[in-house]
Amino acid sequence: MQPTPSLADRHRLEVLASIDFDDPRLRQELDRLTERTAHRLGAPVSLVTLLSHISQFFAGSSGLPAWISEVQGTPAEWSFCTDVVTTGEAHTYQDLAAHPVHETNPLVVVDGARSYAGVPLVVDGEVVGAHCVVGLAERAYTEEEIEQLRSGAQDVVAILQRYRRRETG
Amino acid sequence: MTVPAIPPVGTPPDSKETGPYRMTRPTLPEAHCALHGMYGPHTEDIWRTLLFTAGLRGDESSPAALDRLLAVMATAEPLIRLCARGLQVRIATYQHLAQAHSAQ
Repeated sequence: MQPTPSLADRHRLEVLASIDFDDPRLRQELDRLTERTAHRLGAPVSLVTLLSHISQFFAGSSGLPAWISEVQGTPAEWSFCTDVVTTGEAHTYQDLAAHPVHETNPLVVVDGARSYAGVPLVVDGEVVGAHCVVGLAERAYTEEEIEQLRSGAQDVVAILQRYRRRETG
Repeated sequence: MTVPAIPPVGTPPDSKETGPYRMTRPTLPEAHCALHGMYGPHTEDIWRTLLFTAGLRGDESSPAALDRLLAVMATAEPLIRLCARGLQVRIATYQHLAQAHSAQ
């Protein structure tokens, strides 16, 4: 394991650490929201990911394979959301199997993820993660679909703000 | 931010790679490396304190040693807790895949 340096910004991690993403009420709210997004975009999987320098946490999810849903995260190097978090911009991958980084990603090779669209989740000016959809077939996402994701991301951030811890570290 | 290379460690019995996922169980040196990614030059003081509280020397290689360290990290300040949570996800991922791989 090597931590991902581009994800290790101290202030970003402090903001991420301030979110109580293990609170079951938060998970319930975000699960509902990802179900809504998956339905709106016709995608088999929708996620709210929070990305540290070593792991991604699925704070809310819909349609994940059972084992990933149980673990509620993966190593950071498997995350499709890294580019969204490091650039602060929406990203889409029409064919993950042809992507230079993700073509060998176990989630692609073994679990069959094939397309991706994600938008940033910005809390206190820091991109803590992404709201995204994952498809099991090649797919080009439209600007209208990205706007729907952005709208969902605004709702996600409003929910995350309600689950901030007030302690300082 | 420069992240130190992970020193070579022994391969305990349950640290074999998990088939096509090519993953190994996190180790104490990797926990140190993960903390270094957050704290940089300030890591050593934190590391020594965590090891002392957990009753570890730092050269242990058993899964139980890492679990003890994680239990201490889980009660520390928010950034260290976040690091512990990330390591727990990696352990849970590894354990699930190791089980699935050995069942094949």
